[in-house]
Amino acid sequence: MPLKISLKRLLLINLILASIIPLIILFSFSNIWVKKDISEEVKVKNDIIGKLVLNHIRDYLDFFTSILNSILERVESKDINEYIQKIQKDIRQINQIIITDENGRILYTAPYDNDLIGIDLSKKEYFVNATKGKEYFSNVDINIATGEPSVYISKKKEKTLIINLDLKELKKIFCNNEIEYFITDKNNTILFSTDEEDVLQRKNVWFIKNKEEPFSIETYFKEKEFITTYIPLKKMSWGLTVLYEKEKALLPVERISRSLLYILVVVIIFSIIISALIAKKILRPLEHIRNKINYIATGNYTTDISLNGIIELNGVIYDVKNMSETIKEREEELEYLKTKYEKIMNTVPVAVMLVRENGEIVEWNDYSEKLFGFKREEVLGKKSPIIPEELREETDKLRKEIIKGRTIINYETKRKTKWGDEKYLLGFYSAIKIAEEINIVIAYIDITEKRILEEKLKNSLEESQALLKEIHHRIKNNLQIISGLLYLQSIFIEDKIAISALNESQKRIKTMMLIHDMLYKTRKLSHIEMDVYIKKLVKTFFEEMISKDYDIKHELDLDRIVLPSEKASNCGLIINEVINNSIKYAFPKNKGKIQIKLKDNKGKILLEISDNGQGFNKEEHRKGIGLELINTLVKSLDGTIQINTEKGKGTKFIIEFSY
Amino acid sequence: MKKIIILTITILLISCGKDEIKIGFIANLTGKQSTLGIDARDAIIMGFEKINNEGGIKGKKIKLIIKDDGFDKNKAIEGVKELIKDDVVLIIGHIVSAMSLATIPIINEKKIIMISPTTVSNEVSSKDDYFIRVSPPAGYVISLFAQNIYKKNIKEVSIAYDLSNKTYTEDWYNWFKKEFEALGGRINAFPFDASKEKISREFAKKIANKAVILVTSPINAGLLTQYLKQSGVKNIFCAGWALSPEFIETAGEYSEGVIFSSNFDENTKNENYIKFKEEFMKRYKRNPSFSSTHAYETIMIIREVLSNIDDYSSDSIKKYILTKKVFDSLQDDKIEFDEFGDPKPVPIFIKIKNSNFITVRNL
Repeated sequence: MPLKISLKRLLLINLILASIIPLIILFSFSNIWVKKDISEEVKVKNDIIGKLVLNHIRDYLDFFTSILNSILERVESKDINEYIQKIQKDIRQINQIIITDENGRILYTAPYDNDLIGIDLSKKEYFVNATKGKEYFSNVDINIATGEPSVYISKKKEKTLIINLDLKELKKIFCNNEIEYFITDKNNTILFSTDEEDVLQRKNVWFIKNKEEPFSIETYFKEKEFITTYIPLKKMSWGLTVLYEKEKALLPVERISRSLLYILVVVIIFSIIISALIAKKILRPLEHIRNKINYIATGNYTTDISLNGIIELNGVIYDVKNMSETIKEREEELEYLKTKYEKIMNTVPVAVMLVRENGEIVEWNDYSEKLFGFKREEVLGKKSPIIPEELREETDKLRKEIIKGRTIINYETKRKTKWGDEKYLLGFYSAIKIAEEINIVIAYIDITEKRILEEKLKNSLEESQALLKEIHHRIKNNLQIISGLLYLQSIFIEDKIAISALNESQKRIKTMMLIHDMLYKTRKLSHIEMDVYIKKLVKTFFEEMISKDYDIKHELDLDRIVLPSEKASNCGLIINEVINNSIKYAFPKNKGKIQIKLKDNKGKILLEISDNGQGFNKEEHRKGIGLELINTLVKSLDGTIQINTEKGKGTKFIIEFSY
Repeated sequence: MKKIIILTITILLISCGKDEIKIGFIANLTGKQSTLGIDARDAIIMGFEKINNEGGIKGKKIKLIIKDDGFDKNKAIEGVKELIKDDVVLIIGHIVSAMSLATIPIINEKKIIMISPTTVSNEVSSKDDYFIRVSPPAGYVISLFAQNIYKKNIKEVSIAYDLSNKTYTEDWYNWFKKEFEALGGRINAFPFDASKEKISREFAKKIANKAVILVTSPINAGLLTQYLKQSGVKNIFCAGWALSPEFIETAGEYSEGVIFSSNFDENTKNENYIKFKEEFMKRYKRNPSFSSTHAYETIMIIREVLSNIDDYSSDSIKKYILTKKVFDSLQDDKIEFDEFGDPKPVPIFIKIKNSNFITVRNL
């Protein structure tokens, strides 16, 4: 299936695939990898710092526990009050030192406060949890006297000793501007922090992750996120949390991310600009070209498309212009052809029509309307109404054959008109393929009048032939009578020359009579088949006109040649004269052989009559009526004659003439 | 082309913008009086964390901006101005009435809603303004408290009231005086300023009487209770301000039998309260005070309001609260606001027994 996608979408996909996605991937991976590395690095750093701080805190608190223990050791001594007062005075971080009885009632405080003597601290966490074994470090508590957050270190002996440490003072010892950290009590309330406010506000820290793992602190904590390390201070049940501001730690990542973001924004802006340029320089012109093409499609070929800065697009514009001009030319050509076709179709005095295989008419020219009386709109899309019922089957069959590829020309048929009369037609049928459909083009020439004329001519010809036959018959009969009269005349004449002349004439008349008899009997009244005629002539001559005393053989070699009756008659007379002369003069012993050849010699007729007789002297016979007649007849044939004769070696007449 | 532009804008918005609702919180978070402020802050942090973890309000996360008024009027005014400058939708605060009274003119001028979880002073009652409170005005509770004390056949009382939270304490004193004297009782007034004066045994001796009423913070009340009990005072009553576990810690065994006027019942069977208490304990390893509870109720109300209005203007917030009127609470009864944004009081008394707060209906 071909992919269908618009150029706009393609540009967008290109933008996303080529720039945005790689940048986002780069952005994401750089974030993940670098963040991970930095977090690890910060964790290690935090850990080192944490341990250093931890040691410092331990040392510091050990100092206070040692003080606590030293007081406890002397608690029953006489100078205890002075000792405590001195310690409290000398060590600023100590807010208060309290000694209570076993019930938690204050026995002594330093600085001394009479009001507090007897106060019950039994509900205070630092009293409840104080043990004999080891020092207890309290949660953050508000100092009853100062109202400030503070922590207590307590330990039991016979009495309970409580030292209250000022958390504000602790800051002065632990503060390090380079690192941030805080200490939380077991309730996660900050008891010491590099930021004093955290302590004063008794901020509570919510550990998102396991305390042993690096974790993030809720954003409410200073409204910032930190990479942190938690180190438990087991002795005090406190925890040290070393902070490294996430934003600060991840500044390189932020810078990379920001740079990538800027690049992304720049890429997007550039992409937008490029897309806009593409849209302006390609898509809009393309739209314009498309509109123009649509405009061209409506038949308007005026293409005033302005050239664009893009070379390839200019190529397209040129192509469109060329295409438009070519279409215009083609259209004009087509229009010309159409007009020509229509004029030819509608001018030609031939009924032309185009039909489908099923006989449905798709084209019907003017002459068809005129010839058959049906208008175009009456027949288009319908079965042909002009086929007579009796020819319907034949027509269907014919149509199938034509569809198969047979071309039929000069097919005489008849069709009926709208008015019911019949038209005789000469039909031409051929299959043509038009737009994947095979149609049949039919042209009918109206031969109705010709047909009628032909009928008349045929009738007239038949009458003429009958008449001509009658004439030949009558000529033959007349010649028969003349021949008979000549014969009767010869009976009453005794002069041998006269009798011979009459016999000669009788033979000549028979020769002519034979022609007319053949013309009368044959169908063709003007032409004679010479081979048949010569055979009959020779046969008649030898059977009827030669005495039985003669032993003359004849040999015929005849081509099948047809000659007009006049030429045939002359030819017959020549043969008659030559044979007659041969019989009369060539064979003194009345024995011999005569050969007759009639050949078609390269479009000319060659007639050879020869005998094997004694030959003759040409000069002696030159003035004889026989040769005279032969020469006259050859001349009438426009032919030539050659007589080859030699004493004792026979004679040969060679006559050549045209058809 | 349009698609490219939309895509670009979306990317830029995703990369640049953060969809959040800013809410301010101001209370006293430092100093001797800070206990209730810290309790409220911790409950509010827990409440908003819960909302944010559940997807925020209409997909927007809450950004909480916390300010410390330091129990100082000037700091309170400054803090509120800063919050308004930070463009917060509303302000939660203050915890003590004196601070609320100091900043109400500013919030009314700037037309920004301030919802106080614990301001009970009658001085701000029945005013159509931008101040709304979740704790009912103290007047009715105090009157009832006076009646019950009188019924215990205590005809004369000493009242020590802390002028560091003058708005609340003076108001409390006046209401009590009015009611108690009307009943025929006699009052010895002992105003003091805990921010300036030391709570001394001498002061306790001065106020010692058959019955003493302490209107001060939990620590001060706790310490005074010790002094008073040691002086032989048997009947000690406290205003609701001191109702905090810190009181018991400070007063020690002398806290036994002390009675508080309150509208907060720690022993309620309200399932939401029980759940809240468990969560608070888990998170902070201490019991929630009335301040924590009312602060959490405030969060519940804010969540409902912001979930049901489209624009977060002060007028819309106010209109919703005053129209809806009844909201879920963490106590037995629902919170029912009147037309001035003051809830209907549900007075109870709290008595300490075996270091626990016990709820009593009558003294």
